[in-house]
Amino acid sequence: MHPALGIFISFALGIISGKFLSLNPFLLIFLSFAFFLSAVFFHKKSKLFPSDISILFIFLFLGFIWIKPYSLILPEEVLIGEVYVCGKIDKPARQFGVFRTYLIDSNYLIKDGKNIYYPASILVKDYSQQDLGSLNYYLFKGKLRKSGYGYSKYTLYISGKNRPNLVKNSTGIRKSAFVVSEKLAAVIKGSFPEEIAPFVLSIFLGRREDLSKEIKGIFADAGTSHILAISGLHVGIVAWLCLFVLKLVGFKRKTRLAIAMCLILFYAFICGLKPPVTRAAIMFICFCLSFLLQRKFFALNSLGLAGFADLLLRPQDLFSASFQLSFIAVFSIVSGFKYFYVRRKDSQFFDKIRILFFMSLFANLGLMPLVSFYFSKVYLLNIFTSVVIIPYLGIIISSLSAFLGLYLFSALRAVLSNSISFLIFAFLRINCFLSKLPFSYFEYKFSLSHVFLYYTVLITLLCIKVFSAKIHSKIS
Amino acid sequence: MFNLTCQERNALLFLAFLLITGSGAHFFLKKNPGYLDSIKINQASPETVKVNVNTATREQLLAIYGIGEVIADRIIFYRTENGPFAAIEDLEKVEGIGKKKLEKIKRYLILD
Repeated sequence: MHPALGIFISFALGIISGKFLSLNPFLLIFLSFAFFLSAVFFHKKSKLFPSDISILFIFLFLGFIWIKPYSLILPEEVLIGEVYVCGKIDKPARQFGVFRTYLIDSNYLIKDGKNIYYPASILVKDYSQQDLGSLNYYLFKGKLRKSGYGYSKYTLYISGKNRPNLVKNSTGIRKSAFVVSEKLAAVIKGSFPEEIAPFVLSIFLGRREDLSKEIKGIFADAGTSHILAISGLHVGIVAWLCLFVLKLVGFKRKTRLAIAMCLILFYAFICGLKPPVTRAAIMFICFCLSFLLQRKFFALNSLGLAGFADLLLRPQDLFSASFQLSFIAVFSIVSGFKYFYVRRKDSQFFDKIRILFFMSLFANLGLMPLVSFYFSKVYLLNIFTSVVIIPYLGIIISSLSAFLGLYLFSALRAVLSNSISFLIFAFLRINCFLSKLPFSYFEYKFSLSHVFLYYTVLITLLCIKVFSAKIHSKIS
Repeated sequence: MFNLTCQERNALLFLAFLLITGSGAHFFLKKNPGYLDSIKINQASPETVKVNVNTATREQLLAIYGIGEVIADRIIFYRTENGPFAAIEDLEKVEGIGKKKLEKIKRYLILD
């Protein structure tokens, strides 16, 4: 079994329950402590099964506790008149005509001189037109309303006269990564035509704020929106390039892996620590550690660990579409390959195509109801188109990494940027063509009950497959 | 069920213990916010720290012995609403700062 996956599922179930059930936090702490004592007791008695069950219950109740501060509902009087919000700007603002929007990680609110603890995400619509630094702490003044975006429940409206006050400049690794990200973004904007620079920023740095609706629409219709988010593919290519360069420099294998782990972690910070990139970075670190510590690598276990770590840092991520899509896609691919015995036979071209096809098939099987639930579309052709699109994207990202690596050589810079621009234009044309195909997708929205039903059937089939394989191996 | 080794199980239980005690402390401090102020230790010497009350950030105010999160925010809040302080004594107008409190924090503060 996979302990980290079990703990992740149990913690996630706790978070879901905690979101909808209101229990006293001290009762929950008491319950988790009681199960902790029971786990220790059974562990000492060498009764491992009850000890494992107790561990699962500990993490279930911890999940309950963890979401508690994020599921607070503000009293109605806070929504009357103006309120002060102290918080950190989470990511760069997006301009919409006369106002700009951004998300803040609120710390607390001040209403009539009283502090109200509210550690959640708040959407801001700011009409003050003041340039604000990302990741810095500000004191915002505005009107709070009950409508949010994603998992933020409230929107703060800041009028033109209420300019946010800087309370604290952010420091640390996130700020350094943001500075690097800004510099890379400036390099990319200066090197590529303005029609494709937002696309490059999106696929390389995960910054989608400048991406036009048209481009987003093309990818959404073609069923290839997932490539606009930084995920395992991007992290894998960057990691492979890091390892390759470190090998050229002459580092030993263990040193290479250790340096690559740090670089990938920093890359995850540069990309804003969004759920898919955090997951991919943690899985890569687990993979490197398994080499360094000479342990077997379990993909499902490292997926569980990545999920647990992400939820520990940001429990509200569980309710975001990107988190759900990213984890379900990887779970489907890994378990599909594992339990349906899809193995690499040789390194021939057609074998790689076969592997890509199965990867796309398993990911689509896992994601179909959720994609339909969120985006009201069921894709028909992207199982096949991914076979072309994914390797093509791989070439683009590798070229981009090479371009940034060789940026200082001005002679190469122009040649590379022109050839990458050509590649990207062709890539956009292909996606445009795919989006216009008659059977690319049809519009249908799964209801929540249908989504549950689908996953119940899928998990039951997977369990039957696993148990029948176990019985078969015992008999043989 | 999980086939964990003894060391792995101990590590997992240790992690669980840390998370339980951590969340216990978190909720206790949220319920009793004054508790942390009562055990706060001033790490800076009075000679070295002089904070300009009109320009100090929240963090700088928090570094002063006697100023907690609530008071720091009220100072910032007051300053934003009414403009800079004309005299140190004006701090008495901030809710939560009385004569005694002002006497205690005065020596760490300056004006521009």
